[in-house]
Amino acid sequence: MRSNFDAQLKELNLDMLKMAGEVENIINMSMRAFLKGEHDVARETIEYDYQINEIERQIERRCLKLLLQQQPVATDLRRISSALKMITDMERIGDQAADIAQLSLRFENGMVPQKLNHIVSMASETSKMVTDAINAYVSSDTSLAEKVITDDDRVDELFNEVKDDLIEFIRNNIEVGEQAIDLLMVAKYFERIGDHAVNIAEWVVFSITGVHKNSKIM
Amino acid sequence: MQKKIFRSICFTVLASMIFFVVTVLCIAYKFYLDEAETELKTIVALITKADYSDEEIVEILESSVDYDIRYTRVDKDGNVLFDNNYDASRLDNHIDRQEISEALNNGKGASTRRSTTAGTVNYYVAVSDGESVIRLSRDVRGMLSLFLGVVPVVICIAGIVMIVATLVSMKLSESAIRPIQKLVTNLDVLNEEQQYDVEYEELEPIVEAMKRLSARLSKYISRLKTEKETITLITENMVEGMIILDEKRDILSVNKSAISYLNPKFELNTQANILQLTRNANLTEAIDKTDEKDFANGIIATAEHQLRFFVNKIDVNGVKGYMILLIDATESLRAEEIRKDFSANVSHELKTPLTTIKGFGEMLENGIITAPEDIKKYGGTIYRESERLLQLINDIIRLSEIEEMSADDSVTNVNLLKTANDVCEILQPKADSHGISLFVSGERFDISANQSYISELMLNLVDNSIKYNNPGGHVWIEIKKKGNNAVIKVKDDGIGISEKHQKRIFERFYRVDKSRSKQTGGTGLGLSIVKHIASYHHGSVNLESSSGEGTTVTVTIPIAQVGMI
Repeated sequence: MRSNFDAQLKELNLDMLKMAGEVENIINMSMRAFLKGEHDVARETIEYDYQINEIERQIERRCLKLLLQQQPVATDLRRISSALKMITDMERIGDQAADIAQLSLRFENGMVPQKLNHIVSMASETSKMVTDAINAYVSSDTSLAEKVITDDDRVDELFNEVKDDLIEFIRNNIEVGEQAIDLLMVAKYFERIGDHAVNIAEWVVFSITGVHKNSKIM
Repeated sequence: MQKKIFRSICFTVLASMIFFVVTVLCIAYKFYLDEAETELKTIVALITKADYSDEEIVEILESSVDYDIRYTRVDKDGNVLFDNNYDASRLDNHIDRQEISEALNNGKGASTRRSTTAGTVNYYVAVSDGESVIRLSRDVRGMLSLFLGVVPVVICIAGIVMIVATLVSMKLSESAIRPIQKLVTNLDVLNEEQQYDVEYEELEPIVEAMKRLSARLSKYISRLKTEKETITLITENMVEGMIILDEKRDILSVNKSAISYLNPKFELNTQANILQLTRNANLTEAIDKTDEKDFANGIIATAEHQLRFFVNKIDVNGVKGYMILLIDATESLRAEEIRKDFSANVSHELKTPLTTIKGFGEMLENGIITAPEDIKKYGGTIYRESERLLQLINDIIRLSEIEEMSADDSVTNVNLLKTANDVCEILQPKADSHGISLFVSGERFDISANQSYISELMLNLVDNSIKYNNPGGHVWIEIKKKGNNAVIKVKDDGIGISEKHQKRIFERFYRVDKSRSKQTGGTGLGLSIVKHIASYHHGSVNLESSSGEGTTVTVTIPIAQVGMI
């Protein structure tokens, strides 16, 4: 009975890793779509999001089945419940990456102003945060998870800088207002991705220690 | 085994005990019955001979036997005359009783049957004395119960015997098994050389067989160990990464290189999946692909490396898995990139002068240019462009020669100061035409190097300093010794190179100002050649410059070339 349960937990873990890999993938794809203005990649990214939604449903079913049939306690319960929460965040990251790809379809090739360095570093920063959060999950590394949580401040800072940049940008060229708004939305999506990475990291900490956002909930 | 021996001993003892006791009891009972019969018969025989009255007989009987005895006298017709237990007059005719009729016919009779009068099973003996029949009877059950009184004693004794037998059999089985146990504990150290005494000779062949087996086994194990060590040594020390996965993509084996390429923090524990090592999408997809076509390859780009990987599907005797080989292709991919750039550049560079030559040549052929001064002008252009083309081709050949190190690689003593003076002599006319003054200074000493390469190096540097200079500018060449190195410093107060170009200035065909180079006739290969020559001599090139203030190029070359000459 227990060995069967262990096997199922292992399968769950593998599915999580698979989903994590796909999420990392979609972020990289949307970054390429956005930064290099590759419209093919953008369309591919939007398509790819369905795949992530599918795997999310699959993991969700697996988690619920495990909760129902095995009635896990302690660590097992924490692992399964945090998995349930984490996939929601990962799925949202996928959605936001697809949204970025959708927006980047509206930019002409290479129209993303090179001057907006801050949005570029936001992109790489958030993508790194997601990777770190997933790595923390894979290796049960609380310190890495904590790092992700603190890294988010930097992304928030960058978002404000991007905002200032864009204000300046509009002031100088009134006719690019629409593009600037789109860019602001892209920046916002990246900022949201960072927040989801923080959520994932928090659930990683919870699944290891049972403490979520400094309060013991289980 | 000990338990089994113990159990079988116990079983044997118990079974034989039960058999023995039952048999003895049966025989004893039979004896007892016979004895009882004989006793009754004797008494009856004696009574008939004696001349006592019935009452006297009863009195004697009751006083001499310790069981209930019934004494009955019956006349010839079966009427009961006397009975010690019952009232004779009440009893019915006894002529039909088996023993009595037998006695009336034969003189005596005996029977065991249920008594009609008393209702119990009795043993009867009857004897006729001519006119009456004397019968004695005794309750058979009484006889049995009397006998059964002995049984508890027998069982008690049997119980004691059982306990003793159990203890003894325990000891016995233990001691029987001890040599085997000893053998088992010594099994680990059993080897062919060592003499081993077994108490049972039946065990000797087994011990021999075991010795042979253990010898074979240890040989086999040591061979496997060596093999495994060899394989581990090879896989652990190879530069290529190697990963072996089972069907579920759990890692069966992964070597150090693979871990350091993919995930330096990874620690292999049992049942780690490939996804725990790397989640690279290319690799995952490639593994998926092998399910259809057995082989796939691709490239993984990590932060530090570009890895080329090959995935093979393994299917040996139903054991399925994957084997992944990782090869660090950072260098080769970069070289490929550079080569691609180079061929793109080279064709472009070659095309430009050729287009000019072709265009003017065509115009001349078609007679479009007729005026003598135009012919002279365009002919000059064709000449200059051809010159440039030739120069370009020479530079390219030179560069590939240095790269291949196949050119004239003779190393001689080169005097740097003399070489610098020679170079200045060659370039003096050009410097004069640009209005540039050349200065040479420094120490006079020899280094071991390739003379033509060093000349080429200085020629290129000084040429650059002249070309990218303002009229009336200066070029200083300084030769110095610094430790084990020779330092060649070419300094000018020319136009300089702005910071953003400085990084790329050593790239082939890179030019700061494309329009200017047309006038000056450069090929964009000069500094590239300088860099190659310096690294050919295990030296380095350093460039300091600021826009508008001039440029200083410092070449450092070891005085003695290690591993040369």
